[in-house]
Amino acid sequence: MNLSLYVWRQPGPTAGGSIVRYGASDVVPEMSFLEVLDVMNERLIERGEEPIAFESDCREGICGSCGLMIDGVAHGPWRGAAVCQLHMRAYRDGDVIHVEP
Amino acid sequence: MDRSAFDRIIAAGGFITAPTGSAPEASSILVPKTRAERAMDAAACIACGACVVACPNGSASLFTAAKITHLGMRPQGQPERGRRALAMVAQMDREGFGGCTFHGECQEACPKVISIDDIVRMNGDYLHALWASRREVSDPGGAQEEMTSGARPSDEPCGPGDAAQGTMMEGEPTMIDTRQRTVRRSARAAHVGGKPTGAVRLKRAYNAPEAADGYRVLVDRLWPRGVRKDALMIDAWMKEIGPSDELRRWFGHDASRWDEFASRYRDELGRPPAAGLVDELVARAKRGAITLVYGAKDEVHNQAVVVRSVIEQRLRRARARAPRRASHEGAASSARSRAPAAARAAASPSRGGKRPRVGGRASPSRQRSSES
Repeated sequence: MNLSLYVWRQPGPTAGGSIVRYGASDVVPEMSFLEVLDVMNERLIERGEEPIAFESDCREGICGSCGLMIDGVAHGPWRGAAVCQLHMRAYRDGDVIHVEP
Repeated sequence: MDRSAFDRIIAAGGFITAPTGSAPEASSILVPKTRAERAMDAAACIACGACVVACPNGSASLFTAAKITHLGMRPQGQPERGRRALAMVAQMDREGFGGCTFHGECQEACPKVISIDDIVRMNGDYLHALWASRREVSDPGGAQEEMTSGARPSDEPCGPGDAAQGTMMEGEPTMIDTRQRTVRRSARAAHVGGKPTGAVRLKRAYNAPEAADGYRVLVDRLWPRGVRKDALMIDAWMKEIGPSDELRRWFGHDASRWDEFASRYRDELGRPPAAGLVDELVARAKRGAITLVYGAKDEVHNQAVVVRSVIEQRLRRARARAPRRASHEGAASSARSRAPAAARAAASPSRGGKRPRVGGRASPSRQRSSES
């Protein structure tokens, strides 16, 4: 499954930011949304780029750290689930996803 | 994300003050299943902030309501239930969150599917606590009565925990500031038993009118700049009572000229046409509260201060004469006054000990009953 992610990037709290497009390839439906970001970050680090900063802690839906806005909705499209509980079976090949803090 | 505002709301009241010992016998306090479930559903809140983000008003009501419901549904949470609602809602407001208008976006965004029913519960707890604390403030003797009467909107019974309910009012209300209390009490006095007599208040035209103001009269010659006619809500505009243009220009709100201004202005108030208006205000002040409305920025050095001192001087003089005529004036004054006798009895402590009480009317017990 290949996805296009448009991610809000901002170097610092006072610096200006912009939406940057990333391609996420080889995504499997069993991955959680945060795991997709983890894999993308590994590739970014390999390329020598700044990884995408996002908060997460428990990854089981009880800490509330991972409050991303996905396509303009807090915690993404699944009702009753935090971002860490959102799995990629919610998406299909070729989907375009917008991610903001 | 910075969620410290949530931490401060929790710190304001999201806890139970109880000695922690060993776990009690499970069946000694029975908690209905539905109630326990509801508390647990609310306790699922992870304080992630999605509700605030989703809310068009930026309200943290769903979060706060979840915490209040979580603790307020259980027997251990009862003693502090009212205090908790007042404190947490007050802190939520202080943090700058918006109000809830029941859009319902929060429960759609909530990863734990907290229901906005909890907000209804929060509002219920808050209103009840506000009502209870107000009653205690304005009627100190009523607190005892309230504890036994148990007049509260009860939902499901909750075993012995409910018996502790009465204690939640103890030492309350700390969250309502004294200014609010005073306003509410005087508004209540005006509403319940006529206005307190002899009260002459000053108020800037830019401050909001209140029920407790009584008869509002503008004492400026010029209409206060930028205030709409209907917004001022005055009963009369006594243009002629204001200082003459000549005196006003000379004074120019210069504090160093204050004493001279006050002296000259007193002279003007003793001459027509101002003198007649002063007479009218004195007569009204005898019957009920009046408020002198003025526009000046300086709240200490302005003509309304002088007008009030003149009126109060006249009232004091009238009262000093009163005791000699008290016996036969009683009937006449009650016929003249629209305020019921009970209201005048309630207001009489403000007259100090100068006048002997007539017919034991203001005995403590009667006084309380007339206020409640």
